Amino acid sequence: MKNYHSTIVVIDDDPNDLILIEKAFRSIGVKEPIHTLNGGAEAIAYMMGEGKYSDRTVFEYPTFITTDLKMPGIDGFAVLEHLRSHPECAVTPTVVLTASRDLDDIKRAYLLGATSYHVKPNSLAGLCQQLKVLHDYWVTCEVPQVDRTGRQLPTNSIGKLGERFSKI
Amino acid sequence: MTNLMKPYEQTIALNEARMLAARRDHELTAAAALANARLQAEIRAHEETEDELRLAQAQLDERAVKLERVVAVRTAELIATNRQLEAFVYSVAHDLRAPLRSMQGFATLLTEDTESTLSATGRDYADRINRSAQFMDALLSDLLAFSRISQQAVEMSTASLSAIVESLQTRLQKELEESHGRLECPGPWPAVRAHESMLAQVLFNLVSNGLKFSRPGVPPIVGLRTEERAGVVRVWVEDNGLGIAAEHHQQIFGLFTRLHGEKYPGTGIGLAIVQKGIERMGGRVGVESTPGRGSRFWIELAKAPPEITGRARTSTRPPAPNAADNTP
Repeated sequence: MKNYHSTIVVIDDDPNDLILIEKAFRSIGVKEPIHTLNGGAEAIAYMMGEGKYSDRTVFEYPTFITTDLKMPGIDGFAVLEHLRSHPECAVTPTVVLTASRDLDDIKRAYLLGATSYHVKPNSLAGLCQQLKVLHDYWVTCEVPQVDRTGRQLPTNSIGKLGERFSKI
Repeated sequence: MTNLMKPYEQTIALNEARMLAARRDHELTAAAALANARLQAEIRAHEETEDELRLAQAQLDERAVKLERVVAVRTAELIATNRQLEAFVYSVAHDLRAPLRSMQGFATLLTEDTESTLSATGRDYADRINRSAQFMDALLSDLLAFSRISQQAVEMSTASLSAIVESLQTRLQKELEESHGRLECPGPWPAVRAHESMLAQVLFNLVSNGLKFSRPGVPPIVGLRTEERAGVVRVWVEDNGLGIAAEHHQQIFGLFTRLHGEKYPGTGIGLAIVQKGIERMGGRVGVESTPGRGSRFWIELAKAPPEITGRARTSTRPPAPNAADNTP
């Protein structure tokens, strides 16, 4: 288990899905703060700590993101692109949770850096099962540590990794 | 007598002869001119006719070109409309699932969430919403499967019936256990020309129907066997189930046709997928059945070329990986 605080952000344009995903996370015993964001524009505002998300003591930088793909305006791909263009703020894992089985969508999402891609299960039980697998897996994974703004912390070790991040 | 003519008489006669000759000459020239004029008129008339013909031909050509252009435009329109329709069916089936997920999700929350304080009646209603949503979801996914089988590119190759039949046993494990049914497939399995995953789906639908529409209290037995006819292989799928009255034999292959209402679950799309798949592979499908005495469905596909048939007969390779993707 990772020994630092984590925050989950759920991005979807369907408010019903936002409620159901949060409920599913809670029903499998997830205690971390969950912020549900309605659409890509809100998601990017959250990442950037803009507007109502400027208070990082409340809206901590996420350590786990699930995002829908097909959203009006700024869609899931744009969210992935945004994260990729800010590598120091990239979130691991960034999980795509969408209704689309389209092969091009799957390819594009991975090209843009999605950690994994899942089609939304049709039942609540299926959704719970899916999220449990993801959460159980990722809480045991070591991921880069970030500060409250989402910037990855410089590592202490002397080596390529440390050098790379100290340059950013 | 001429010898007796006097010189002046000779001159007169000569002159007369000359005049006669000149007149005749004149007459002949006139006749020739007339004939010439007539000929020219005829040539002109002919040329005019030719011109008219050429004009008509040109008009005809022009019309043909126009017609071809119209046909091309109409064909393009039809193709576009067809594509739109495909996209429409796909997006309808796809987009309808999102609100459905919500309905199912919240209906489940109503009955299972600890914060929910529903009475027994309330829970029953919520369960009904949930079941209906599940049924609609099955409808949509079958509709998607039907639209996929109608649109996907057909790639004919030598398909191994033995591999497909083997994979059926595995895929139908649950249904076989639940119904206490049995699958009897002694073979032999000649290789056929088919799109393998499509054929797998067709046979899956036929066999699972045989297991589903069983008589109450009679464990279903579904038999699969083949029969080689001139150039074709006929696969029989026979069951000991309910049977189908003759007047329904055509109807059952239509979309959304269900003969038994709520007693037997289903969406009425399974046999439509069978017919569409077989049609797209250039085969035939039919049924022989008497109510109460089971049904015998058959499909016919072209036999695979002999040299490959020999190999496929003894083939023990596992089912194609894509065969399992097409659960209806």
